[in-house]
Amino acid sequence: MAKVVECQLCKRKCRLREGERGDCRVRLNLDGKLQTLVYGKPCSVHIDPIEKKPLFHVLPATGSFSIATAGCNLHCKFCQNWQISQRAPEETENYDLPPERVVEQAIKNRCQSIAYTYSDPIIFYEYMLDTAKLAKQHKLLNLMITAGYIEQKPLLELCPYIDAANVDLKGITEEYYQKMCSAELQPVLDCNITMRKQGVWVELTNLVVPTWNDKEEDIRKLCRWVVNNLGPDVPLHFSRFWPQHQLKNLPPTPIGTLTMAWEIARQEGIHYTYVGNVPGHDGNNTFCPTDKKLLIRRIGYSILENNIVDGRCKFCQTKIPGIWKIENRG
Amino acid sequence: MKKSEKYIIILIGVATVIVMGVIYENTLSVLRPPSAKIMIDVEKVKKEIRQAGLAPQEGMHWKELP
Repeated sequence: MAKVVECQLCKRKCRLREGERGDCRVRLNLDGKLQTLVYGKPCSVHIDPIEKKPLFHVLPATGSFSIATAGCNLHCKFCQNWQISQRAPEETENYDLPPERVVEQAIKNRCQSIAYTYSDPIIFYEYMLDTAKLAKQHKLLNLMITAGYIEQKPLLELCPYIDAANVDLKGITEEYYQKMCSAELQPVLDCNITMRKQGVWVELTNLVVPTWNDKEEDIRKLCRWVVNNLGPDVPLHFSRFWPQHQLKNLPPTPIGTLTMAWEIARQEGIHYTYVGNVPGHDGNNTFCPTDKKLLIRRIGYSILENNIVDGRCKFCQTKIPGIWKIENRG
Repeated sequence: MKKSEKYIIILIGVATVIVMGVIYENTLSVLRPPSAKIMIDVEKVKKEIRQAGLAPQEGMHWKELP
């Protein structure tokens, strides 16, 4: 009799009969074993500025070798990468790029980090883990850009190899996660707390979607959760929504709403808060939480001015948390 | 009996047979034993994976269910 397997990578715990595929589209039961279809088979390979992830407190103005496979364990209505995340690997054009070649290419292109990104690297867990182990041996940083929908056991096994992560904190209610992403909030909150405890540098992104999660009370609740559970030094990026995928009927997020969110975050005590997808906004810049001076001036993903020296504000010497050099993780 | 009346009776008869058929199939689908499931053609799945140039590898973090 054919064996049934249960995937334990994420909260969905897909139970798969022989030949059946998990919700993420890339893990299936073949010959009584759970198998991944995307090991060494990325469909997206780019070199991005690290600020694009967005990671504003990690190796500024450096390139990150970025990879992703098809599939995702969430189904967000607003997904900007839906052409690969909501596809099976048979539907995408894939490269043949085993872990050793990822590292080789990253070094060849003078990247200081490898980013596991675009779709969600949780679903290409094995590929990410093996690549990250090799990358660490070659003194490359490992960056995980994720929705954080992962069980604790695989997360704890991964953390020693991940230097920094940008985690989407899409909303602060279970209802939002269920309706917008067909997922649950609590595993994401747990993921953030665990990563912080394990010493991973975490930055958060909240995509502000008009009429869905743009109310002042929701933003304030989100900010308070961040301060109370992760601390005021975790950077929070508010990102502008653009009509995509299943939400083409909505307008882009008004800049005023993003400015409101940015100001609420500062009122609630978050030291480093940013506005994304709005070039030229003051929220592109980093300010010292002590003397309020401008530390890093950015326009889009470009750095115009950097007043952080040896990880400190050059004016008042306040330590600015982040990974400013390869050899330190602060 | 007029010709038109005959046709109406035939039409009603055919409609009744169709409706009875729908009721019968719907009842069967409710009463069908739970073991009746969608069959997956595993060999077809493997063939499609190969044709797509994919190479399945055993994953981590899973368990076999009893």
